[in-house]
Order: sequence, then C-alpha cells, then structure tokens
Amino acid sequence: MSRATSIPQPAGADQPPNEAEAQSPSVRIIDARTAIDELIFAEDPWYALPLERQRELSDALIRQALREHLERCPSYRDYYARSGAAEPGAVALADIPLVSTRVFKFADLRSVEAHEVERWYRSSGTSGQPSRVPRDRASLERMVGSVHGSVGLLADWDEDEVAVINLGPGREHVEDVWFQYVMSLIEALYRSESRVPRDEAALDEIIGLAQSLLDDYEHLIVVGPPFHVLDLCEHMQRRGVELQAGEGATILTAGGWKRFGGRAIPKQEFRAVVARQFGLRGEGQVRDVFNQVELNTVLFECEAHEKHVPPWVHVAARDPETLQPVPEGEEGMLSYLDASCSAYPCFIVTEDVGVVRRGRCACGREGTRVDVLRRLESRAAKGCALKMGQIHANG
Amino acid sequence: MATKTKTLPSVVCGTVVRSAPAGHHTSTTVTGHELRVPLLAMSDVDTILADGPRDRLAELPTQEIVNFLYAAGQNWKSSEYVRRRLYIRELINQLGYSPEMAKLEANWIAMILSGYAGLYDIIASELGHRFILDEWIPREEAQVRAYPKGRSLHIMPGNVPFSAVVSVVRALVTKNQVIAKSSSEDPFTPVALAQSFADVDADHPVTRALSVVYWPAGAPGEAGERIVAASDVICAWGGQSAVDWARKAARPDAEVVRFGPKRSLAFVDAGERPEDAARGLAHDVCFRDQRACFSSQQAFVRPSPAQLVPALSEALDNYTEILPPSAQGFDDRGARALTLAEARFLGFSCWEAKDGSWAIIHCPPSFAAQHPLSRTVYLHDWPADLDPGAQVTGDTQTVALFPWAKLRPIRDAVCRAGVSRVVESGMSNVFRPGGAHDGMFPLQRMVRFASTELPSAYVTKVMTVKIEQTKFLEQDRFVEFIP
Ligand SMILES: [Zn+2]
Repeated sequence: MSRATSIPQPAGADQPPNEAEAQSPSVRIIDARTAIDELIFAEDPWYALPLERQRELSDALIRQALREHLERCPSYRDYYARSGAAEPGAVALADIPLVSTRVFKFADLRSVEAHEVERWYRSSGTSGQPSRVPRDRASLERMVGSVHGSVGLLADWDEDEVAVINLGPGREHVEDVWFQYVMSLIEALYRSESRVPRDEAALDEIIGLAQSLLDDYEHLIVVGPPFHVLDLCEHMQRRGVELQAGEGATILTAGGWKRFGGRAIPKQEFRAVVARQFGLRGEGQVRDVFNQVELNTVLFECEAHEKHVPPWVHVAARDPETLQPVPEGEEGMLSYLDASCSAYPCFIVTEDVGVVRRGRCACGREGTRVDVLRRLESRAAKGCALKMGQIHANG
Repeated sequence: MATKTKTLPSVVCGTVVRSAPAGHHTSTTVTGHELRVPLLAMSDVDTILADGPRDRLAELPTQEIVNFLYAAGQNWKSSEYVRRRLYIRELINQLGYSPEMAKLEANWIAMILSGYAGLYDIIASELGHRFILDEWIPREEAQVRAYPKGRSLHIMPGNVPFSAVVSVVRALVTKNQVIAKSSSEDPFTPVALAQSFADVDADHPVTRALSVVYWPAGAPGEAGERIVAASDVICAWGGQSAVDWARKAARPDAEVVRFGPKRSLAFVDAGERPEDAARGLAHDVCFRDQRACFSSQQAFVRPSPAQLVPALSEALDNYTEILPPSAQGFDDRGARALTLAEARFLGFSCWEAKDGSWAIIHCPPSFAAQHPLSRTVYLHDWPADLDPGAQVTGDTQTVALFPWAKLRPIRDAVCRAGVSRVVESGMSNVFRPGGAHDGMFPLQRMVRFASTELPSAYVTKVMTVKIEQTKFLEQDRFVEFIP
C-alpha cells in the first residue's frame, strides 16, 4: 500500500496540506530525515524488526527526544531538574520523570513556540475537565505516518478494494476532538462513509450501507467506538439481520470500553457478538486500536488481539506507589515515553491500568505489547467525600 | 496471600437469607479476597413489600424503638459480644481496616445505638417535639403530628460504616421501614446491624422492619425497580453517580435525600500553639482516611504552611500509630501517586510519611480539584486579604477552625457561601444533636406532618370575635379583620 504522508486536514484548519508543507518552516523535521522519521516513514514495517533492534532504536530515539524537550520546554526542564534524575545520556528510561496526563487538564505544556502549534486538541470525555494537548506539524505528520506504518498489523489490503464505514461524525466535521481526528485518519486511508448511529433510522441506513459495500468491495472496515458497534449489532439482532461477510470485513474499535451508565463491555463477549452479527469467518477480524489525546501514536491490535507498541514508544506498567516499573506481565499503571511527539514532552503516566509483555507474540511478531485493562477507579471515592475530578464534573 | 471466598447473606425483613435464587454478585476486596453477595430476588421483594413489616413499626411508640436500639447498642458496647467480634474481624480481613480503626467503628455503632438521650434530642430539635411521632402536639393554633413516610430505601455509602448506621437509625426512629441497598465496598455493616437486632428479639417490629439487599450500582434489575417504585424516601449516600441515579430512579412524589459528595476544609492559625493546631487537623484528616464528607482535605494556614509542617508531620505520625490507616488498594495508591507527580511537576512542595501513610502538599487552593483522599492534606497560604467565603462552595460541608475562639467569626462568611457546618478543628466527626447535616435537618425529610386545627370557637390572635365566615361575607366585613 502507498504511504502518503500528508495530514488529513480537519475542517477549519488553516491551509491545505501541500501549501502548508511548502511554506511552513516546521517541515525541517521531515527534511532532516532524522532517525525517528526514517523509522516511522520506512517502507519496511517496524514490527518486522527483531526485538533487540527495536530495543536499541527505542533507547536512542527516546533519549534524543528527551534532550530536545529539555532544551525546548522550560516547565519540563525545571521538573526534571527538581526530580534529581541523571542527565539524558545516563538516565534509565524507567527513571525519566513522568508527567501525569491530568496535568493537561490545567496546564498548557509545550516544547514549541505558540505559532508552531497547529492546533490544541482536546479529549472527548463527557464529564469533567477535558485535557488540552498541542500538536505541531511534525507531531501530526508522524502520527499519520505511524497509522500508515502500523495498519499492516491488521492485514495487507489493496487500498482500492477497501471501503470504510466510520461510526462517527466524519472527517469534514472533525474539529479539535482528538478521538474524532484519529478516527478520521483511519477513515482517510480508504474510500469511506461516515454515519453517526444516533437513532433507529440511522442504524437502518448503516445496515443497508454495509450490505451494499460488502457487495461492491473486496473488503469492508467498520470503525467506531465499541458501544456504537454494539448498538449496531443489537439493532441488527432486533431487525433479524445477519450479514454474511465471511472474510470480507474487519470491525475495528477504538475508544473507551464502557457503555452509557459506566458498565464495562467484556471484550471476548463483544467479539463473539460482532463476529456472529456480521457473519465473520473468525473473531480475529474484530480488532481494537488504542490511543489517547496525550499519546501521539496509535497502537494497533494484531490477529492475536495484542496491541503492538512501535519502537519509538516505550511503554511500562508501574507500581501504583513508587511509579517504578513492575515485572513483565504484572498489572501496573501504564506510562508511555513517545519519541514521535515534538510538540510537548510526551513522557506520560496515565490513569489506565494494564499489562506489558515483551518477546514473541502469538501472532509470530517480536516486540512489546500492551494490554489496557481499565481506568483507575478509587474505592475511597465511594464514600461521601468529594474527591478528585468531581468538582469539575459538577461545574 | 491466599484468596478466600466469603459469601454474605441478605436479610429479608429481619430474617437472614442464605439462598440466592437470583445469583450472587462477586467482587474482590481490597485485601484480595473474593466476596459474594446475593442479588435481590423477586421472592424477597414480595416479602419486603407486604404491609406487615411497614405497618407494625408505624404503630410502635417512639420510646419502644429507642429502647430497642439501646438494647442492641449495649450488646455492641461489650467486647465479649460475638457479633461485634465477627464484625471487627471482617473489617480487618476483608476491608483492610487496621484493628484500631475497626474497633473504633464498632464503638461508634454502639455509641449511635445506645445514645438514647441524643436520639430524643435529635427528634425534638429536628421535628419540634420528642413525642411528635406518637401524639398530637399543640403548636400555635393547631395540633401537629408526624407520621412516617412509609418505606425508606438507603443507597449505602461505600466504606463509611458510621454513615450507614446513622442512615438506618434515622429512618427507624421516624418509624420508617428500611431497605438497605448495601455497597459492594462494605456489605458487612448493614448485615451485622440487622443480625444484632435479631439477637435482641427476632420478631420485634424494628427487627422485622430492616432488610438488607444488594444490586450493582445503577442496575437494580426488575426486582430492584419494584423496590425503588415502592419507596417513599430514598436516602442516597456516596459518589456523584449514586446520588444522580437515585434522583433519576425515584418515583416523582418520593423524597430523595442526598448525602454527599461533599468536601471539608480547615482554617488554622498555628501562630501560638502549633502542636495543638496540628493535632486537631491530623485527627480530622486521619479519621476514616478521608472517606467521609466531613474529613478535612485542605487547610488554610497562618502564619505559613511550611511552619506547620514539622508539627503536622509529627501529629500525622502519631495517628499512624494510634489509628493506623486501612489498607490502600491499588487504585487508591495510584491516585495518590498521580497527585504527587502532578504537584511535583507544578513545583509544589510535598512531604510524605516514610511508610507512605500520609502526604502533605503545599499548593494553591485551585489544586484541590484533584484530591486523592487517603490521608493527603493540602496546605494553602492564608494571606491577610483572603476572603474565607470565596474558598468554599455549596459542595463544602464542614469548616473546621483552630483556634476556635479566635476564628469563630469566619462562620458568617463561609456559611453565607454554602457551608452547612462549622466546628472546632479536631471535632469534625462529632455530629452534635441540633446540628445541620448537608444543609438540612434530615429527620424532617423522613416524615409527613399532619395538623388538626382549632375550630371556629377559638378566636385568633388578630380577631377578638368568633370566626363566622358566612356572616362576615353577608355583611362584607372581611376587611375589618385584616390587621
Ligand atoms: Zn501479535
């Protein structure tokens, strides 16, 4: 497949991509062909690299990013100095001071000049204060590049033979909500239609559309948040519709695994329901991708349902008290060091709990995988005391 | 640690039920044990919603209810009482309480149940008269009486046993049938309370009036929906989602009494007696590990937070010893670690106990929106021009003051701005009879007032003649009687 590097522009963005590329000084990063860009925009996929090589790259790229952010981001530089961490060449990756993702709710964090920020993106949470995260051109291009470079984990499709239904507002309506932007990137890879399944009529239309695209194309990708996909499947059930997609469809989910009202959707059950309703040949055709507004890379699931982490991202599960990495395979708070981000120091610790594994995956590829299990949920919050975040939720 | 499975019963109108026709809800406790609680079954609902349990309690004189609670409380007071011993053991083994904290919870249960004088005072101060639930009480030109609303549903708080017991006692002394929907965080307290009632008298109307059931938060199912629909009062404790759910699910004519979520804070002038200032604040921070709405989360400090830190660290260490914190789960520890990382990123000074049992953060008040609880106290500067009223909102429950005599004038500013309680620092957990809770007098929400009014033969204060309305209309004299 082709590896276009232009950024799909959300509605309201300043300039069409080509012009911007020609005029903006920030394209220097692409021109400079730095090691990270060579890796992200490489013809050969990163997931084919041996584990040891991935490790070396990871170490070098993250140290290089650390040096750059220490130079350009005064608030991170001060934090780093206060933390007493060793200098960038000597510090262990595990000891690089982490920024809690909640900092993005109340502080503007950036490593580029204000005019270099293409856009401030926000999280799509329905309650509470959204995070605000800046992206410059280089970060966005690498983000797009990483999607192109990782989509092969799903399958190697010929792009003319694939059609996409995005269960969301679509590219032309994407503003500053990061999640929608990421979805639009996936949508932008192929011929696509966007439909928000907001009511019965819309759901009926989507079923009809899916049917006709299955007839006209070799492959159909339905992408959307899990609860929308589940709504669609339940609607098909009510209507007595069972599609016969066979090998001709992939259902790709992204976003939170909770339904309205906060109940978690069990992933395995979900895959079974979706595979049945679409008539898929196997549950391997139901895949998930992971991203969050504070992370500059999209993590794709392989056929063994493992999310592979590219070498420019270092992921660790950490002890909830010391924030030091826990042994492989143990649950911890997930942290990411993402070297692809130039707009802000993407050295983050999140509110997600998960497990990190390294080595050979069941799919046969070598590398690091992450399993995002759940959000941190404080037991203390179930008393009658008002605690973190809830003040924002009220007002 | 070996994982053990504990299966709790439900209680249907005072009877312990060990079968679970609707299945169990399974959760993992903070200590890593598996906990199974029966889901509410339709057959239980039929028993609970029969008229008997509700009506028998409504007919009981108040003093019989108070005496019954006293008898149960006397058992709880005894360290030999087997129910108390089992309860303390569950809090330690299942909920991770320190032995000291578990014992203190049991003592508070004994205190609430045994405090008959306090109960009478609360009835008298909140409802107007100690016998108003039994007799017609003269009041101006009427006689009034209070009747129970009928059935009360209690969405119990997670892990604040004291509040669970208070909620049940308030409903029972106002003669309301109680259906306690326990929290998966603490299903032990309501069951232990119900069993202790049966220990006194298994067939007593108070025993029969209490049922303890469970459904997952926000998902009552068909059986739970019948309970909700039949509830005349819903007391909702806990986080925002529990409180919001109760308001949505309640029958339109039902009373929804919301407790929490609230936060509390302190104003501390530590200039003269820093050790005393630190001791009071440490108590209000450590009591129930800040799970309760009255626990101090922040303190505005004079002359400066940094000056209070040594004494406060020492006082917090002392509480680690005399009232060790309960075990903190993964998520609570994670919330604290994230908060400390944020504070450090923003350049705020942080102090932590060597054993991690407490943390102090010197930060501006705006940082308080992120609070992990778990014995974490935020200290803020208190400059001369700070308006205490601007530091609180309707979300603020209790303001604790030190020293009391000097700072009491602050009460006007903070209460005008939304605070419902002002106390001396170190006294946050002591709810005095007569005091307000979350801006109200809760017993008033549990009853329905009725009045019988004086007949025409009685003159009113503004008329010296008998009230003869027909004659007044015929003679068009109404205006004469307008004062
Ligand atoms: Zn794999």
